[in-house]
Amino acid sequence: MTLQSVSKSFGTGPTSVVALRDVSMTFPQGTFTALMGPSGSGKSTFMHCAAGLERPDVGAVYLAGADITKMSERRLTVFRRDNMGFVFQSFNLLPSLTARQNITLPFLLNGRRADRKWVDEIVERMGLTERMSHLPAELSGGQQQRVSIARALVTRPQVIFADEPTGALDTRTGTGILHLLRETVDVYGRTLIMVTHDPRAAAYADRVVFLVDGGIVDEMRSPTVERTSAWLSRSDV
Amino acid sequence: MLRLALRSVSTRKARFAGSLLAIALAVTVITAGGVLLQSALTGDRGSPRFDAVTLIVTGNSHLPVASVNGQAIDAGADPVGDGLPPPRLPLAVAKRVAQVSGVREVVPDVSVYSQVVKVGEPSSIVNADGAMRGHGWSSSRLTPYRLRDGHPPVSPDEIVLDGRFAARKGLGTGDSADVVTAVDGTRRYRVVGVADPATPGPSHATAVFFTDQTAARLSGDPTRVDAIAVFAESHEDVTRLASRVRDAAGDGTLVLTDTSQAEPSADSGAYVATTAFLGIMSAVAGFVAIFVVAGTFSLLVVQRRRETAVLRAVGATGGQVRRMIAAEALVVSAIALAVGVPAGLMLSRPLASLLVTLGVAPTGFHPVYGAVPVIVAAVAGIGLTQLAAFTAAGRAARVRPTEALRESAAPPRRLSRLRTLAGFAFAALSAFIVANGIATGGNKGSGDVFVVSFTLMVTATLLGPMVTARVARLVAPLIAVLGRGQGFLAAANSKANPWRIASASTPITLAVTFTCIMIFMPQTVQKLTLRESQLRIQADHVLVSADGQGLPSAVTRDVARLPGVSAVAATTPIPVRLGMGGAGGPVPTRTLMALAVVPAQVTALLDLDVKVGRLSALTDDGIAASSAAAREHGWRVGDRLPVGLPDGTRRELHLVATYDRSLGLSDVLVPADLAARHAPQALATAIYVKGETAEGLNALTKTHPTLITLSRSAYLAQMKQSSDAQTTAVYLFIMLIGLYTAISVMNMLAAATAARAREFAALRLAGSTRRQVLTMVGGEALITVAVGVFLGTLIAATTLVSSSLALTRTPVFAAPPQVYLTIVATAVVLGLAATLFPAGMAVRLRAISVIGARE
Repeated sequence: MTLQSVSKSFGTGPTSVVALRDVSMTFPQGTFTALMGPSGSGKSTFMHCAAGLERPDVGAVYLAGADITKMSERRLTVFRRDNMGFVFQSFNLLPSLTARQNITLPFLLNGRRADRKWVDEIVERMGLTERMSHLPAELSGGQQQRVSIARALVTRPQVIFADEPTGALDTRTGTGILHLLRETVDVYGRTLIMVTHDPRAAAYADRVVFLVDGGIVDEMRSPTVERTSAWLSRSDV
Repeated sequence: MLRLALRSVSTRKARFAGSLLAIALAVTVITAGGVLLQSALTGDRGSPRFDAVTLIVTGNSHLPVASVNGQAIDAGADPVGDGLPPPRLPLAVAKRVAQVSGVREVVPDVSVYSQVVKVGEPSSIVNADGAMRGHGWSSSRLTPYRLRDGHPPVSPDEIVLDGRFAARKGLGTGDSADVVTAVDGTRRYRVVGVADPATPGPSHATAVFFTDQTAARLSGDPTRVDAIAVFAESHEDVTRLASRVRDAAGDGTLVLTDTSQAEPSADSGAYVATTAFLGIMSAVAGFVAIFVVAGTFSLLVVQRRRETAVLRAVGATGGQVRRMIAAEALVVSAIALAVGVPAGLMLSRPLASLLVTLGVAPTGFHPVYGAVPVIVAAVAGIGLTQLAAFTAAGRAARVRPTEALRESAAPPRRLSRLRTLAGFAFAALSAFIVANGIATGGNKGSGDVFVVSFTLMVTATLLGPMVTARVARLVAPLIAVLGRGQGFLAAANSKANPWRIASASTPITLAVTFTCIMIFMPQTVQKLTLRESQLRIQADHVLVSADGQGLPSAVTRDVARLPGVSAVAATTPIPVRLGMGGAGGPVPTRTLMALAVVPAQVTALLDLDVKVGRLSALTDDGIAASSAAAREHGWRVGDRLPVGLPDGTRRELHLVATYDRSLGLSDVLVPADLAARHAPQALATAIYVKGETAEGLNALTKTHPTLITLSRSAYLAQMKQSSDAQTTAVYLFIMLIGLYTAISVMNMLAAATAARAREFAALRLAGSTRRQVLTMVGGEALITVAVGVFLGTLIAATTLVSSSLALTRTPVFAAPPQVYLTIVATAVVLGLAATLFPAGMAVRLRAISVIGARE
């Protein structure tokens, strides 16, 4: 996945706010990138643009050889369904569907049959085999987040976006979730882009990209908790 | 998609229960209304007086009056004329028909107003008997009637009575009875026999039989008959015979194979009134249903905004979201139909008997079950929900997937440009309707203006959030009284989120508008009528009839002879058929009840506020019209109007004057001479008398048993009372529609409040007590109700004032404060209960568990 000179601002006239300024970045296949930065640094907008949820004002976003900024709303939706997965901070499971139905929801929307073996494999890896017929309300926070990771994986997408995936979880549960996210990269070869505030979460990534005021200011390979924390406190976040 | 929808409905039972209830109630109302309306439309079985007859020939009331500028006049729908007996026929037609092969016998039938009164009976009792019709004895074979006792009438003073009537009055063979007729006034007859119809049934006017000669004389014109009954030879093909008879009878006649349609049944007027009443009530209920169902669905979609965003983020297209909502609507409406249709069918029986009890519907009125109302309810139920879902889904499909990623659920919204434009278009349309209605004036103008309540309702709904924000700002300072903190929060919430207030206040606006209009509109018309009548009536006494049919001209004559009487004026309604609309274009004709008056008399006793021309010119070929009617149809004083008179004669009459004070009187006046020649059977509805003659008038009631004498003030008081009785029925149905609206209001408010459990929990965690949260919610509810009541009152007042302006050029309307305050109080109580109850449930939970729980 590649972003090329992407700019995005909100509003018009004097109240206009620039969220991204001329950002370019490549995410190689099978890598895990963490996006960090203070509030309002543009990391959410960055992710929305990369995922095609928001259209950039200028620039292009390439995935699997296609510029998604040029796609129609409908085509983009279908493209997203097949090529991108999402993991949210607040899980965002459909309350009326069981865990299994939530996981296979993309197939339901596709009108395709779910690949049973593949679903079972993911479910087993997520440790959800026993909970498949439960409604989200009957699951713990960690279990709900595992369901949403399973849902993100189920279509074998190129890229998975995770927005503060551990933000609503306690440390122990969060650690488990981060392990699972790491596995999606190591075992299944997905590209993972994660927005986070937490240096401990960022330490699971291959690299950390720091954003400030809508621009990329630094990049760190093989991050550790200490180095990331140090960087963040230096930039006075 | 259907699977997802089914799943969604079945797990979210509580949330869907509300919309299910709203739609099921809508279906119930539509089904019940449809069944009753169909029953009223088909309930009138016609008159069985000609049951023994093969064919009936009558006059044709649907004949063109004249052709204007060589253009044929359209003789289309004629609500007044269709309820009246057809025009009379020349006797020559009977002779022609008798020659037709296959006709065994022809019987000319006469039917005249003939009220039989037991000698010495006070007039107050006469009222209970209803209208009676007199016929020649040869007509007794047409039903047939069989003599139970005595013999047929032979000499001119002999009559035969209907068996049941005779039994009720304690009259029998050998007794004397007075009969009041138009031609004779009151005359004493001898009862020589009692007869019963061969098949008993209450469905035509009680009959009294004279000799054929007497009946012909009493009809006022012995050369004409009311109907010609045809008995066919046995084994004759009725259809072929009918076409031969039609050829022989010639123009201006109607040949009926269904003899029950030959004359209006005793209940036909009541059925027309019931149909009109149910029609209006069904229209209002239907309109309310549209709003309620649309509101319920848009609320449902708003509540699920976040879930929709998740679906969009996961990869559902806008179309898929739309289809999912449509499928959910289908599931919900299918269940609603299964519940609502049987409920509506069951409800129609008690409602029918209620209508009978209230005197709105005739005694025989009962629900007739048919496929049509059920189909209409099914189509309306599914159609309405699909329409509501379609508009709501359009909004849902536009939900952006990023909303799932944000933590704040409801983003600030602005009115879309299209919606704003549509809102202003409807506002402009409303202004046009008001201006146009007032310019047209009269009954038509005031009826047209009624539509403005609908268009203003739509305007208020479209521009709701914009209006609400402003009204909330006005009301908010008052709410601060509740307590500084909570009042402030309530006001801030209302300003920040006018959408919630707007959608919650819509059903209240609707309820207040319709309740006010339905109750105050008839009262306003009544008040205006009373006011005009007070100004118009210059008489000291008003004479009316006890049987509601009218008084014979003999009464007028006798009153004029009384000492002390300085002026007498009778107003005698006769149906005239008039070409409506100005020159050019097709001219529809319609029947109006014109009042026949003697111009010299009427100017002395009725101040009609003549605007153009002079009433004294209302001589032989003159006609006068109300200013409103003249304006509506483009008549000017001096115009020649083609008129069809009750005996079938066509004349051109000169418009000699237009007058303003027509309310409670009539839109058209014709000279009494003309009426006497062309409608000898007509009876006076009122006789106005000037002079100190109370005793003399009372003495007259002895010779005229149907006469009731009233002082001017007593007459005006009675006018007020009779319309009060009508409003009781309206009140009751308003209460039913109000109940339905109330349930919907509760439903919407409760759903909106329950959806805010998290917000309440946050307030609790921030240190608010339960009481404080409830006070805040109550404050918001008050603002919601205030907005609803304000808009509803505004719309109702606009409609009422415009309607009054159209009718009488005065902005007067009747709204008794106690009734209005009751409506407002009901709205406040309902609004508070519907909000505080679910809020109370929500704050009872532990705040932390609500916050912790995921949506």
